[in-house]
Amino acid sequence: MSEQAVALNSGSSSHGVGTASTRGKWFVRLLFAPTLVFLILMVIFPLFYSLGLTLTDYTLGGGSSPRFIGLRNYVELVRSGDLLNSSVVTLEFTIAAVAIEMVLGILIAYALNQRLPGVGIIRVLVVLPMMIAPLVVGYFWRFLLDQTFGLVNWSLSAIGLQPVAWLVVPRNAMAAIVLVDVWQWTPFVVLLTLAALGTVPDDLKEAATLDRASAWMKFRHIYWPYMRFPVLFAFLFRTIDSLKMFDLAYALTGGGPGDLTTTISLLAYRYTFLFFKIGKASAIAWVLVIVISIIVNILLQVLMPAAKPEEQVVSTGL
Amino acid sequence: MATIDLEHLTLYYGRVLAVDDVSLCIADRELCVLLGPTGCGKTSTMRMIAGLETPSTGKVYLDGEVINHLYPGDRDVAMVFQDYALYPHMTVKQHFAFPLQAHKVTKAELEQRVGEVADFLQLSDLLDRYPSELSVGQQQRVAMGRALIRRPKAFLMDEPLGQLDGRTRAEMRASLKRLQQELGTTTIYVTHDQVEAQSLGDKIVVMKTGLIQQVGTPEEIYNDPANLFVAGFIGTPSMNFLECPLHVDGKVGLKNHRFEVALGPSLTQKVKDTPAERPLILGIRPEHIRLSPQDESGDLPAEVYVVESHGNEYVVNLNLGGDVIKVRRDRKKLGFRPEVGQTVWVRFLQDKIHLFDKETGARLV
Amino acid sequence: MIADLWSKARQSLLFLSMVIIGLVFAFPLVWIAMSSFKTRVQNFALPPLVIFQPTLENYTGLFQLQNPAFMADYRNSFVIAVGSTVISLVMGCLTAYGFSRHEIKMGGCLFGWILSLRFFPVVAMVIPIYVLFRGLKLLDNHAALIAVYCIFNISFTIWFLKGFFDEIPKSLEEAARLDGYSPFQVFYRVCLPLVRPGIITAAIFCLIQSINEFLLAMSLTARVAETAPVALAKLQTAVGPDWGKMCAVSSLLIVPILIFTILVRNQLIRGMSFGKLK
Repeated sequence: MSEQAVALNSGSSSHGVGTASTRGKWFVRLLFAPTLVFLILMVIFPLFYSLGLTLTDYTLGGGSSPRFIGLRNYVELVRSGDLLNSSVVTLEFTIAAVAIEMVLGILIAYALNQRLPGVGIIRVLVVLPMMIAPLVVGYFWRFLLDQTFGLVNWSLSAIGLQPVAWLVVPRNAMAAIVLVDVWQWTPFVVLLTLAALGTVPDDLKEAATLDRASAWMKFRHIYWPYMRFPVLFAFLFRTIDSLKMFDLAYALTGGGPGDLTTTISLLAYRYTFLFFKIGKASAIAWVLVIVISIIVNILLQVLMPAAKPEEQVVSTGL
Repeated sequence: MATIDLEHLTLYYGRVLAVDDVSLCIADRELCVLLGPTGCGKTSTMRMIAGLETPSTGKVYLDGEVINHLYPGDRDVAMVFQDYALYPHMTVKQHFAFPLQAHKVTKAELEQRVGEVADFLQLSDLLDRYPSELSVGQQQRVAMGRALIRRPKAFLMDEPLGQLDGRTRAEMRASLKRLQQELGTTTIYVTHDQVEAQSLGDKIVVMKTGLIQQVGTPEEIYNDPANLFVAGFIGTPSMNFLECPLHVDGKVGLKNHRFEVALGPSLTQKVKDTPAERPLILGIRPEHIRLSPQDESGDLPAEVYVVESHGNEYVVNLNLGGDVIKVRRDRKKLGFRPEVGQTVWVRFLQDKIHLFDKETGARLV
Repeated sequence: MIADLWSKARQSLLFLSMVIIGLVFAFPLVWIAMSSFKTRVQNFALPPLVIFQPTLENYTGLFQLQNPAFMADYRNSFVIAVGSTVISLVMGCLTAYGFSRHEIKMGGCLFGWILSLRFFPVVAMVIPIYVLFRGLKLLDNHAALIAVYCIFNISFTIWFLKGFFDEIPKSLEEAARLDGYSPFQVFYRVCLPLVRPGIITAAIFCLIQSINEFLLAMSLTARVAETAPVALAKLQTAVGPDWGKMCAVSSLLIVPILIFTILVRNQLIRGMSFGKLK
């Protein structure tokens, strides 16, 4: 019977319904093509364009067309000390801010992980700072930190401490930025840690209590295994966000005094819109891109050795 | 007319061979059960018929036409999934309407058919409920209804009764069988439960690790198992297996270091071509063993190990020289009540003895 | 007894610290809102006024403001945010579904790359896009900014929604296919309705991100398509320390975000810990 069936059927597949494979293929193309085309146009192309720009002396409104100058931009940047200064500033800021946010965040999450009345409201309140535009946060903290009229200094003097010249004295300016960043982003760490703590099964906690485990033992053996991943996740995110921080510095200190709080992003911005030196600005930006990619990849390898390919950050198609 | 033919179907998942050269003919109006343990390829075979998996090689025919290339929705088969696959965001009524809406049915006809199916499955009061608001039994009926409403050429059912409790299951089994006979729709039914297979199937296909072990009616499979696996898989309690090589010593019999069974004339005839000392496995079903409290000639002694009481039957576990065998016998017919530790005498019904080759598993007699 | 007391003391201490924590994070916002209702003079008062006669002059002043034209900018923010969110959701849904259901070559790498856009320093995008748009005369227009925002919004949407699509059992789609629906219809009629909560949450996150964005908006717009954060920055230089006005603007930018945040507070945690739900 089979042979006859095959003979009869050799031409009869088109009922106008399309085969399984063709319908499938068109749809899959629809799923990916628009997004990929869009991203290639808007991301890959400009990026490589800017890479090319780093090798020119393009100056906006400069009149003459850009000339190819090889790696001279990079050399000059290194020599001028601008880039070095900004890198130090950025690193200082990142290390200080992330360290404080992580420690504080975990402690606060611990405190909030209780079944006390009103905890729900407190959790919502805690979440608010990080949802507000960093720019807005920067500006209103500028108000709060105003030397003479700001609430912070007034509170300090009210309890007998010396008011601080927050934004004009170099050391203080950095402290101010770190303080504001901590205020805004500690909630992020709190949120992730809190979620992690919520996944710890009750019976483990009860067993530990019955076994009279100390707080430290509890932390190490019960909580930490559940916290490990989200905490590292938070660490990764905060580190990278701090490295590329722009809005806060712009609003709070403008990069000042002088260039003592000029992060790398801010530096690149200045070179573009103040000096119009596009070639150099692109170079600065690319340095940042490369630094972030390296750090992200290192962190991922070290912190999450079992990470799957999609978690390894492949930067910019390179 | 809805005949289904499978021709040398194979399916690889990566490098794992899930279905190994399966060929099968399913007649119109037949309820064919694919039976086997988990991982034997029965579900994969059915999914190939549905079009949800593409065969690595081989062809699937529906009514004599190859349907390998057809999109699942164009094959005119309906499937009842093991997990029911109900849409959480649709009401029962929408579930029934959904398949019809794909085929441009008029509104009037849609209403009528939905009502029909709902009445039939006793779901008319539940038409506006969502799956999360239904009991498991009700969900199962919705899954059935969704398949029924399409009036397809064939039904494919993937362990549809698996999630139901014992009693509901038994009831649904009977209803299903009746339904299929009334509708006359060709049905393929996948299960690992051999009781279900026996009660439902017109034809049973026993599968193991991707290969078909035997195809036959429930009676054939039960009385004439093709190999050791089929014999052991079908029947509750399962067949007793005793290892003993063929022994020729004046009489032909089976002898191992613990006991000896003489073979009667007809059996002796059937094994005459088998070399002596060939390792064999004797298979005998629990209901084909006779017990008596006294020694009647030719019987084997055994010690009673456990006595299970099932309704009006006993299932007696016996220690026969180190092997445990089970005997099933109606209480009245047994005549006496076995005590634990008692020695009873065992006789196998000669014409019900199965002999299997130990190495190949194939049945010799 | 002592154990009871100790536990009660501990409870109270925790409660107290909880309240303090809540205040620390919420109080600045309250202060800003209050200050927006104070006159210029009142804002310079020492000690800072807690009880005062509120005034609306800061807010009414904003309506009349020409440079920057704050109300127009405020409207722009929303228009651009909504536009970008809608487009990103459409493309993001499709692609997230694609990543969830279809294995494509280098799929893992591609997905990882799309995720990594989130880590990308905005300034590195700004420079070439500014130069290119300047050349193409695409500066200072809504569509251009919407398109640029889509880059980051799509990346987010894809990452966020893939998890939701992953949770739909494949058998639902198979059932629909058997019923005769094409792959697109299966996506549209079965999968999309089931990820609706995810879509709404993603939409709110995209809106928040877009409204808050500053650097790109500042660089790529001037008058026509200027957004609210840019207006805020300009205001700072224009009015100097007119804290009242600054606070008013800040408040207007905070309130919608606040409302959105409260709407998605439960999903926030889920969305952020998605990385760990492997």
